[in-house]
Amino acid sequence: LVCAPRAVAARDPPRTPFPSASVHLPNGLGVVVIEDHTLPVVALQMVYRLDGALSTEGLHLLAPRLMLDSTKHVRRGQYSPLLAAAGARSMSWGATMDRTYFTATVPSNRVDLPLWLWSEQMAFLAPQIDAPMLARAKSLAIQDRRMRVDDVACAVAEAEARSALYLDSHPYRTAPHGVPDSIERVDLDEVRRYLESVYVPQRAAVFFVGDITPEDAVTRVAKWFGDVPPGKPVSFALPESLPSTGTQIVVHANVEAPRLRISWRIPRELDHAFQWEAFEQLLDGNEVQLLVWKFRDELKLVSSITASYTELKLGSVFSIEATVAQGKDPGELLAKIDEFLAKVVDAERSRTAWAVREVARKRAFDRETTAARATILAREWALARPEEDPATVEHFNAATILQLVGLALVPDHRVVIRCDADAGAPIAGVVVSRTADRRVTP
Amino acid sequence: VKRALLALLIGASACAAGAGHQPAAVTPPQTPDAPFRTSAPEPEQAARFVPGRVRSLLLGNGIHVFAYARPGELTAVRLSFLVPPSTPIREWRTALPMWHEIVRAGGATSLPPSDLRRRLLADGALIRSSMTRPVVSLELLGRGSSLDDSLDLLASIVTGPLFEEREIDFRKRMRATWLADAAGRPAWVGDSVQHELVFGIEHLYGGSLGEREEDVRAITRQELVRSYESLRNPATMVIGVAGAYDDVELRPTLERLFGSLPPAKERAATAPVPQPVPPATRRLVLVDRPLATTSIIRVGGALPSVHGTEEFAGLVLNQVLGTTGYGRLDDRLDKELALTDSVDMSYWHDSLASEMTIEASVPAARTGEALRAIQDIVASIGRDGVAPAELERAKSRIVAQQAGSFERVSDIAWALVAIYALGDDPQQRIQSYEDRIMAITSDDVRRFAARMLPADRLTTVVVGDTKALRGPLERNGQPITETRNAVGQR
Repeated sequence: LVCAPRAVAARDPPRTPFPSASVHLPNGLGVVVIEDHTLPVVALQMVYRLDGALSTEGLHLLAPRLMLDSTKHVRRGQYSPLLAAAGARSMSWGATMDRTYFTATVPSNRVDLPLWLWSEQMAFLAPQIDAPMLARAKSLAIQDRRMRVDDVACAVAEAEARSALYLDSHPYRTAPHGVPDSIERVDLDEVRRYLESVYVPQRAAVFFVGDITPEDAVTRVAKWFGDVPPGKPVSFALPESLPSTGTQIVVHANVEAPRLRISWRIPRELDHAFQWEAFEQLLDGNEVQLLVWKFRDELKLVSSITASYTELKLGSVFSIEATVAQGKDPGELLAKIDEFLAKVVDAERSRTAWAVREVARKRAFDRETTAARATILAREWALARPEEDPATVEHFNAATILQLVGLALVPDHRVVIRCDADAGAPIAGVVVSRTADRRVTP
Repeated sequence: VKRALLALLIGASACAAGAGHQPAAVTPPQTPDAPFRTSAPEPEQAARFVPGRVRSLLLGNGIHVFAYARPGELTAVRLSFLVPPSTPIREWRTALPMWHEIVRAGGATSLPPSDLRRRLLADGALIRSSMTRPVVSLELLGRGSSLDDSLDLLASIVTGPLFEEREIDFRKRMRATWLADAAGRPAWVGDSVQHELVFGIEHLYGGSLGEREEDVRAITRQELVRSYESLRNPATMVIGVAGAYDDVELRPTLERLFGSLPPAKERAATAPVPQPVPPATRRLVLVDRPLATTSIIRVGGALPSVHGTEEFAGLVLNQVLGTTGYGRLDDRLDKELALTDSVDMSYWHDSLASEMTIEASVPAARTGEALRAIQDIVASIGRDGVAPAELERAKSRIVAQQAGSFERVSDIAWALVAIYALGDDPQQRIQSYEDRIMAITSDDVRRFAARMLPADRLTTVVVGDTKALRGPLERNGQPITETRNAVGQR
C-alpha cells in the first residue's frame, strides 16, 4: 500500500446499474471494482481497447496468441496451467474488432496470479518475441482461420459486408475475418511496434468483481502495473460516414443451397443496444421465431433463417441470414423480407412488448455470477457506452422499436450478399460481382 | 468506499513521488524489472471456503426436498422428475424434450403474454425448464426470500398444465427447427454418431440421430400428457432449493403446494435398457464433410454408471487429461506438436451411464498424427497411471474450484437434485467432496482409464473430408471401420 504509485481521480467512470469504484493509475490504466463478499472468489478481466487500431494483416488477432505463449518471467505454455492449478474458472481470452481481453475467476487468495500474468503480457512481451515464437503464433492463427472461416459456408460474406458498410478509412472496412495469408510476411519489428503502441496502460483497464475491496484491488494493480510506461494517449476520431447507396454482392461457394445475407449498418444515433436486442429476440428468439414461422413454415422460401445484432463501438450491424429452400428464388426472398420488415413491429405489438421485457429480465438474471458482472463492466468500458439502466428500459416499447427499425433498416445503408451454389468454389466462397443497389428507399 | 479510496490515492501519490516515478521516456520505454516478478505469486493465506449445510426434508407424500441457504438476492426452486431407465426410446427422444416446455408455458402459448406470465413478470421471477439426461426439471428463479406467489404459479402449472393444442403445435415447430439446425452442425453430428456407437442405438443416450421431423409432427397430445403424468409422481420427483429462501416457511410452503400430489399409476414395465458395452476392437468411423480443411476428432468410451472411488477417479482423470491450455492433451497436441490449440474433455456420469470423450479440432492433413497422439496418451495413463506431481495438481485444482461452483443458486439447486438422482446423499457428498477427491491415487486413475478408455478398444469418430483422410489414416495404421454421410447416416 505504501509504495503504490500515484493514482488520479476517476475519469469517465462507467455508469452501471450496480455500484462500482473506478480509478486510473498515473500511467492511465483503469481499475474498476465491485465488492461482493458472498463467496471467496474474485472475477478479473483485463481489457485493451483497440479504438480502431486494427491491422489488415490481422496483428490484433495475432497479439493475444503471443501474449499467451511466453513472456520474460513466464515460461512457454505456462499461462493456463498456472491459472488452472490455482483453481481458476471462467478462463478465457478473446480478440474482437473493439477489444482484446483476458478473464479468470480465482479463489480470493490467488488474485495476484492473473495480475502477474497480465502485467507480464503488457510489460515483458515485445522484447521477448523471437522468430520461433512468432512462427508458432502465426501457425495457430492460420489454423484458427481455417476452422472458423475457410471451413464455414459462405464465410467471405462477413468481411465483404464490412467492406460495403464501412466507408473510406474506417478501420472495420479492411479488418480481416481471421488472419490472412499475408500474416506470414509480417516480421518481428512490425509485431513489436504494434504491441508497444496498442497494448499499453493508456488503452487498458482491469476489472474486479467479488471478494476484494477497492483499496486492495488498487494496491495490487499498482504493484504489478504501476511502473509500466503509459504509452501514447489514444486520440481517435470516429469515422461517421455511412453508405449512401446499398450494395449487392454475388459470391460463389461450395454449398448445397444458395444463401442470402442482408446486413444494415446502424447509424450511431439509432444504435440503442437494448432495443436492437429486443428486435432480434422478436425475430429470432428462444420463444418466438417470427422469421422462421413466416419464411420457412408459411412461405416455404427458406430452410433456415436467423437474425443477429452485432454491437460494435464504431458502428453496429444488424443482419438477417437465410438458406434458400430448394428451387426458390433469392430475389423473391429479399422482396418478401423487405415487405415483412416494414410491417412486423406494428403487426406484432404485444410480442414486441414481451420481447422488451424478456431482454430486461434476461439481463437482470444474467448478473448473478461475478464473472458475468465483470464482463458487463468491461464491455461497457470497451465500447464506451453504458448498458441501459433498467429504469430507462421502461420507456422502450413497440413504438420506439418501430421507429428505430423504420429509420435504420433501409436499403441505402445495407449490403445484400447472395451466395450461389458452385461445386467448383471453396466452402467459404469467392466474390464474383459487386454492384450498387439502386433500390429506392421506401 | 469513496473516502477510503481517496485516502489511499492521496497516500499512494506521495509515496510514488518519493520513489522517483519516472515520466515516460523516449522510444520505447521499458518497465523496470523487479525481484517480485520472477516467479508466480504464491497464495497469501489458506483457501477458506467451507460449504454450508444441506437441509433435507421429506414431504408427506414422499417427495424428497434438499435445501441450501445462501445469502444474496436470488432463490432457485428446482422441481425435477427422474426418468426411469425403462422409458421407451420414442418417449425419451421426442415426448420428454417437448412436454417440459409445454408444461413450463403453463398451458398458455408463449405469446401474447398470458396471465401467468404477467404475474411472473410482476413478481420479477422466471420459470424455465430443462432436460439433462435422466432428469427433467422445472425451475423457478425468483428474487427475495418470499417466493409464495411465484411458487403458487409453479405449483399450478405442475398440477394442472393445459397442454393446449396451439402450444403443442408451437413446440413441435420449435423442435423441428432445432432438429434441422442440429443436422447442419458438424460437431453435433459427430457427437451423435459417437453416442450411437458407444451406447448402441437402442440405448436412451444412443439414439439422437434416429429422431426425425416426422416423429415430432406425429406425436399426439395424448402421448405427451401420458408421459408427463406418469412422471408427475412423488416417487420420481425431487425438489432442490437454494438461495435466500425463508427457512421457517420452507416446509409448510412446499407441503401445501406439492405435498398432496397423489401417486400416479405405476408405469408398465418395459424391456430393460441395454447397457453400454465396450467394443471388442478399436473402431474408427468417418463422417464425411467434403473439402473440410479441419477435422473434428472424438475419442471416447462409456460404462454403466460408476460410483464411489471410480466416479471420483473419473473426475481426476478428466483434469489430468485437461482442456485447451493445460493438461496432458494440450501439452502434447498443442505445446509439443503444434497440432491444435483447441482440445476438450467431457466426463459425464449419472444413474444410467458414465461417459468420457476427448474432442480436438486439427488440420485435416495432420489428422492421423493427432489421433495417434491421443491414443498414446490414453494408453499411457491406462498402463502407467499418473505421476505424483501431476496427480496432486489435478486434485488441488478440483478442490480449489469448489467455491466457484456455489456462485449460481440455480447451479446449487441442480447439484442437489443431481446428487440425489445419482443415489447419493447431498449433504454427505458436499461435505466430503474434498476428502474424496484427495483420497484418489494414481492406481485409481489408472484402473479407471483402462476401463473407460481401453486403448485397444477405443471408439473414434472423425468428421472431415473422407476423400482426403482415408489414405493417410490407413497408412498411419488407423483402419477405417465405417463411413457416414454429412448428417451421420450410413
